[in-house]
Amino acid sequence: MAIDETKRKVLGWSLGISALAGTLGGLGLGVKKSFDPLPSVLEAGVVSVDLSALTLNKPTTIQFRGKPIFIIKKDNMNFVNEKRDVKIGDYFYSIMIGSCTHLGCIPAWKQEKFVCACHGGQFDSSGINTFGPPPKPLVIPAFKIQNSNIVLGEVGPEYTKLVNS
Amino acid sequence: MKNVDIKILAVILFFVTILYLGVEPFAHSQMHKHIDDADFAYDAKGDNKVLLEQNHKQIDDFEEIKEINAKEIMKSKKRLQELEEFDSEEFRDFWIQKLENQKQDPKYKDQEKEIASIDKEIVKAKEMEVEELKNVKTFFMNNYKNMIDQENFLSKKIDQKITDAENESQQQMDDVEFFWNEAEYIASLEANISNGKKLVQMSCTGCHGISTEGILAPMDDATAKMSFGVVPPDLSTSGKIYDKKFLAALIKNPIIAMNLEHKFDNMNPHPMPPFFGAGGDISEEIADMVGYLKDISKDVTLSDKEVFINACARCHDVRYDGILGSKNDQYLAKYMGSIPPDLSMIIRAKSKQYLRNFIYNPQMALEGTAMPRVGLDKNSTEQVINYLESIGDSKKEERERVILKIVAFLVFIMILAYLWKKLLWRELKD
Amino acid sequence: MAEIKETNGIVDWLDERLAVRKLAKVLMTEYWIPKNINFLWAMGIVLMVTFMLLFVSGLMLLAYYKPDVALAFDSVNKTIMQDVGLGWLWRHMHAVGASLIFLVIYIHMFTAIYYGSYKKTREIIWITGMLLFVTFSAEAFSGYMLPWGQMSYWAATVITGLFENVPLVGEDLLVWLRGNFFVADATLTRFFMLHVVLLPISIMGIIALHFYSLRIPHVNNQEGEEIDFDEESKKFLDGNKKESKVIRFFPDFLSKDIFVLCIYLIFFFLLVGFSYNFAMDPINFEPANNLKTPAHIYPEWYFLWSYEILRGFFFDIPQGWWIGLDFLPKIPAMTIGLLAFGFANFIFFLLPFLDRSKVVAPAHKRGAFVVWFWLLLIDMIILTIWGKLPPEGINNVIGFIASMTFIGLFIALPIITIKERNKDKREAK
Repeated sequence: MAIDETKRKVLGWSLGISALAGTLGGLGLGVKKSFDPLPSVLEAGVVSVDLSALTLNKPTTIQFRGKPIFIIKKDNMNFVNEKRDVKIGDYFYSIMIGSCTHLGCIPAWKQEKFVCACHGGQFDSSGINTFGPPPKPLVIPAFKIQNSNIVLGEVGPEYTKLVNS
Repeated sequence: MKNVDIKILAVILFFVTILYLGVEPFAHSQMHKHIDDADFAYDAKGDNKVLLEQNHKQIDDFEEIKEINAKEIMKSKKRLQELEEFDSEEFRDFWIQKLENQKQDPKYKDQEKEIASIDKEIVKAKEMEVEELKNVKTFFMNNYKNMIDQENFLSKKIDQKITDAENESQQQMDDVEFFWNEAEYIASLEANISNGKKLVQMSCTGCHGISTEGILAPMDDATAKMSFGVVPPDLSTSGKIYDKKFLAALIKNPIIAMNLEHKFDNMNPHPMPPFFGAGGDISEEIADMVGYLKDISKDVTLSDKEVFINACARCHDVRYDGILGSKNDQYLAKYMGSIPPDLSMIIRAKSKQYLRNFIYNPQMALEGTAMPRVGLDKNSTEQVINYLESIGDSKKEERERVILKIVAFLVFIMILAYLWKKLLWRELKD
Repeated sequence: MAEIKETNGIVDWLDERLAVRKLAKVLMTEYWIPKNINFLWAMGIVLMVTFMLLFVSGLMLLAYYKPDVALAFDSVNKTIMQDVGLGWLWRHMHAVGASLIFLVIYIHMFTAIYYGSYKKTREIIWITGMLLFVTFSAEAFSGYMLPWGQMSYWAATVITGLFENVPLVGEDLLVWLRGNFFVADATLTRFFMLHVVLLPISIMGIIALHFYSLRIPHVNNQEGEEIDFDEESKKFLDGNKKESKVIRFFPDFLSKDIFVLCIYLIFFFLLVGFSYNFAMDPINFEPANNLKTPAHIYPEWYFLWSYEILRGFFFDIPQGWWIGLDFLPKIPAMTIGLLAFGFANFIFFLLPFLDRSKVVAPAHKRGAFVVWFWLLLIDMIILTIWGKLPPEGINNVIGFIASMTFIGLFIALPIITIKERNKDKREAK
């Protein structure tokens, strides 16, 4: 009788706890999984850019995570700023998010510099603010160097070095 | 009981009012710069205010540099004085200390050659005769004196730059003033309409059409967009919607009239060139042209929408009213820097007064904007705003009507509720 | 099995099956409310009705709203506002209602604090009320995203961006929450789901719990007097209505509430028709643009005080500066702000336990507590106003002082109330 009572209790609690834990855990995992970004989103979240295909001394614009990214391949040392540019092979590269640090307009490339049409801010080819209202240089996005490619969306040692300098 | 309710209500209203005033009028006054209300006078006032502001900003920057420099001068003077008061032995200590400090400079880190030469100098300083030390001291002092001279020179140079900036700004403002005074003079002249017609047909119709006079634009829209960025406007209604003084100013010098000095100059000219004259008195010729434009449009009546289409729709869409020309216009995007915004909801994004001010003088409301001053007169501006309101807030009239009905119903219910409450509470309270 | 007898009319018929007479007694005619109250006691009904207005107007909006980044803005501003019959009315009611419900919630909360209605057996009322405040906040935030205007977009970006500062998993958590690397279509649809299904259902559930939690401790009264409800209700039923300290929920209490409600609704609809601007930020009438940040980003007014606490800590603090451990990395301002933000939102839940005095009385009869009350109110108003101002110069300092004051007040509360308790004890002796 007493043993039966204990057994009943143990079994009842086991049923209750495991059913609850299993259901809640399963539900949690399910929600986690279906709220994860879609494969297409993840795919678009890491972009590899072939550097050899870029035109020299002119920005190439890439759409990346909802923002335009400018990449300039440079061979003229006069336009290189070692604190902002990264050397890969024979060329220096400036990589930056093309969104004005003033009010987020997209600057256009005009005569060797970026000019923001909205309020006249200017940035040099390394993204340093040189004129007008922008408070700071264009932001450098996270990148990694892989052979002759730049991979946007992953953090490499070169990026960490630029950000810390 | 009643008194308590009234007291509580007063306290709540007091705090809610403070909250409202703080979060709305006060916060907005802190976030947006004050703009003078548009008076549609078309004179130099607004432009010069902007110029003056720019000048002040520039001078502030200079003053900041000057202040830093003044501090440096003070420091140098103090050092010089200290040096002067040293006797020979004190100077020797000072010199050695200075060299030691130099050695610690990160610049010389791992530069053994440099450090060795500094060490040599320290030894020299330690062994030097008193007489010779005096010479070194004089040399040091001269160095400081030179430095102070240089800093004083820099300070004067900055003063010069400030004066130059002020003069340049004054010159610009005088030019703008002169320009608008002249526009006023032209606008006051008696116009010879037939001569105006000749002049307009000679100088303007190379790019502009005047459809009501049977003159077609020389280019189709696509070609015109490709060449100019936007289609040059048809001039049939220009005399009607644009201010007389502005038209005179525009023909005389489009860049100053439209206030686009930040976008165009001699190196990068505006698609519409200034009118250089046809041989006669240029002011009178411009007056004749304006007179002609006014004459051909004097009997025209334009609806609010027509004014908008004439004045704004070459760059701006209103997609809620089917005005869709600019959305994918790459030439326009290139010409203006980006696609100018769709104006369907602008009446609710901005206040009417802001729109008035912005249309009258875009640079004053939003410095650096690519939008030109279009020169609408007061009446046409109101028509444009009315049109925008009719699109962006089309239910205004219905809204006010319906709400008043709802409120009337609620007042009726409130009276019933009050009577019911009174009746019930009569037996609950003493 | 109940005794079968002839039914006499529809009410009888229902009574036999659902016990409607008993139900009406329990919920209405013999649900007892203290007599000694003022119009602040009507705020519960006002909130309930505002929620119903939001629910109904929300249903109407749902009929034409399209949760899709390409369609959302125009479905609201064109279809609903200008094409759907009375669509503008539903939208303005929804926007004004969302704003006003917070105003009334705050009044309701401060009423409870003033009269000590969170104490003794009323803790669960307070806690469920705070749960409602939090779910309403989530509801308001998710709803604000739906019109997909500039402020919708950037407020969503900034607020979801806060999760990036969670230690270790921050970045992944942010991407998971948004369903993308930036606020995008996936973010809009999942917040839409929260706004129209999950959160409203939760709110209804918690409202039921909130009402139920009133049942045993009963509603507080203006003096905090402990009333013997059995005795007083007996007096009332025996006809000594004037002497009795209680009234019936229906019709006595409701007759007062309906009158207050009418005044409130008149105010509500006047705002809907003529002054809805305060509830609809002008910047939100520009379509969302992920490439263009507005000049100023701020939440709606009811979030400003906690937003300002978040921003109030505008400088990094070197940890261990007081023990000379300068080499430890600085704690970034954002982390401190986030901690303070968490504190500010959670601390109100603990109010019944932070107040160590057992006396239920209005604040003006509780000595130092009344000062604490008004300081808290004024500090929160300052935080709200400065939460909207651009964070520059003197504004930063004011925000910091006000944030510290807020935290300080809650640290001071137990001390003040313990002193109050000790003083009461001494006087009792």
